[in-house]
Amino acid sequence: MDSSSPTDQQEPTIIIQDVHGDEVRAEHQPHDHDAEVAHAWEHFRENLFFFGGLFLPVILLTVIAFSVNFGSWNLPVTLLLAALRSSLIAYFLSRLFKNFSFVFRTLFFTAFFLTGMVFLSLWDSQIRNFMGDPIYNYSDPKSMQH
Amino acid sequence: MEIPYTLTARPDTGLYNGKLGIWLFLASEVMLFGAIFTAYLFVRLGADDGSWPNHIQNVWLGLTNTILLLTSSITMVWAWVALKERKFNTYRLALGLTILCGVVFLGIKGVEYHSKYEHWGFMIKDTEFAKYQADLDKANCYYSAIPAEHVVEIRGHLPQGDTGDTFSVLPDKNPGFAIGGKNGPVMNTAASEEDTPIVIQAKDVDRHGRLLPAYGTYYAIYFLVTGLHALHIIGGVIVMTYFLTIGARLYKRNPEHLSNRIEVTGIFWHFVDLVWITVFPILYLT
Repeated sequence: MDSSSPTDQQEPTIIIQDVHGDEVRAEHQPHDHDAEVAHAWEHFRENLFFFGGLFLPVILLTVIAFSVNFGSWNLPVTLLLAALRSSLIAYFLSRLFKNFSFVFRTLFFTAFFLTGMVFLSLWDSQIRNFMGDPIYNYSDPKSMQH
Repeated sequence: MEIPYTLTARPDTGLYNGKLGIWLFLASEVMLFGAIFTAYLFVRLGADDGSWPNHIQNVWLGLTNTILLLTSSITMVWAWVALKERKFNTYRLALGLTILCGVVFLGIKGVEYHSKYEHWGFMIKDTEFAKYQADLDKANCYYSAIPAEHVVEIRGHLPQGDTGDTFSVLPDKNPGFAIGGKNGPVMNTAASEEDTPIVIQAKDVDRHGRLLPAYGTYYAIYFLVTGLHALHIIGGVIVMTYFLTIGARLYKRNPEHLSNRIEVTGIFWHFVDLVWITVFPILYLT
C-alpha cells in the first residue's frame, strides 16, 4: 500500500454532502456512529444466519434428496423443498425491503402480485391447450359462434 | 451544485439515491430473469418424453459454486461492516475475498463449459438401436428413448474421434439413485478410460453433436441462463475491483459515501446469489 492510501483505524474527515436541512445532517452526527456500527453488525449476523444457517442447509438437503429414491414421494418431496427455497428467498428479500417507505413497499408488492396474475393467466392458457384469446377455441370453429 | 440524498435517505422513499437506483435496476433484472425462467418452464413442460436430459451436470461442481456464492455474500456484508467501523484494511480483506469467490466461481463455470464442449450426444435411429442395446446394457450405460423423434439418445466422449463412417464412443454410465436405486452413485456417470468404446455406424445415427446450445433446447437454455448469470458475476467483480483499487480513494474524503456504494454493490451481489440458488436446482438437479 502506498503512503497516500488510507489505513486501518484512520478516521478520515467526513464531509456531509447533503444540503437539505438540519434534520438530514443530524443523522450523521458523530454520536450516531456507534449505533450505526451496532446496526451494521446486527445486519451481518442476520446475513450469516440466512446464508450459512438457512440457505446452505436447504441446498444441501436438496442435493441429498436428489440422490434418494423416495418412490411415489419423489414429487411431494421436490415440491416441498422448492417451496422451502422460495419462501427463504422471499423472506430474505422482505428483510432487505424493511427500510423502504410504505409507498415503495406497496409499489413492489403490487408489481409482485401483477406478475403472479400474469403468470397464472399464462399457465391457465397452457393447461387449456391454447394461447391467446381465451374465448375462442380455434380448433373448434363452432365455439367461435357466440 | 451538490446532489442531495447521496448519503442520507430521502424522507418519502426511505432510500438514498444509490439504493433507489439499484432497486429499480434489480426490478428490471427480475423481469429479465423472470421471463427466462418462465420460458424455461414452458419449454420444460412441452418437452417430449425422454428428450429432457437427466444427470448431465456435475452436481459437485454446481454445489461448490453455490457454497462459493453463499460465502461471498457473507464476506460482502463483512466489507460493509468494516467500512462502518472505519477499518479500511479489514474492508480490503473482506472485499478481496468476495472478488476471489467470484473469480473462482467463473473458473469452475469455465471448466463446466469446457466439459460440455468435450461431451457428445448421439441420436440413434430407433429401428437400428437393437444392435447396440446389448453392449450398452452389459456396460450399464445410459440411453434414453425419445418416441416422438423415433430415436434413442446416448451420450459420451469420442476418445478416438470420428472416422466419418463410424463413431468410437465411450458412453456415459447409467445414472441412478445412491439410496433406494439399483444403479451406482447418481453423480458419477462418466465412463472411465478402462471402459471399452462402442463403435456406432454413422448411417445409424440420425443426428449428433457436442452438448452445446445447437444440440437441444435444454442446452440452449442452460447456456443462456448460466451465461447471463456469469455476465452478472463478471460485472460484480469489475465493480468490486474498482472499489478495492481506484474507488477506494473515496474513503479518505468520505467513508460514509464509500460505505453506501459498497452497500448498493452488496444488494446487487445478493441478487446474483439468489438467482443462482434458483438456477442450481432447476438446471443441475434434474
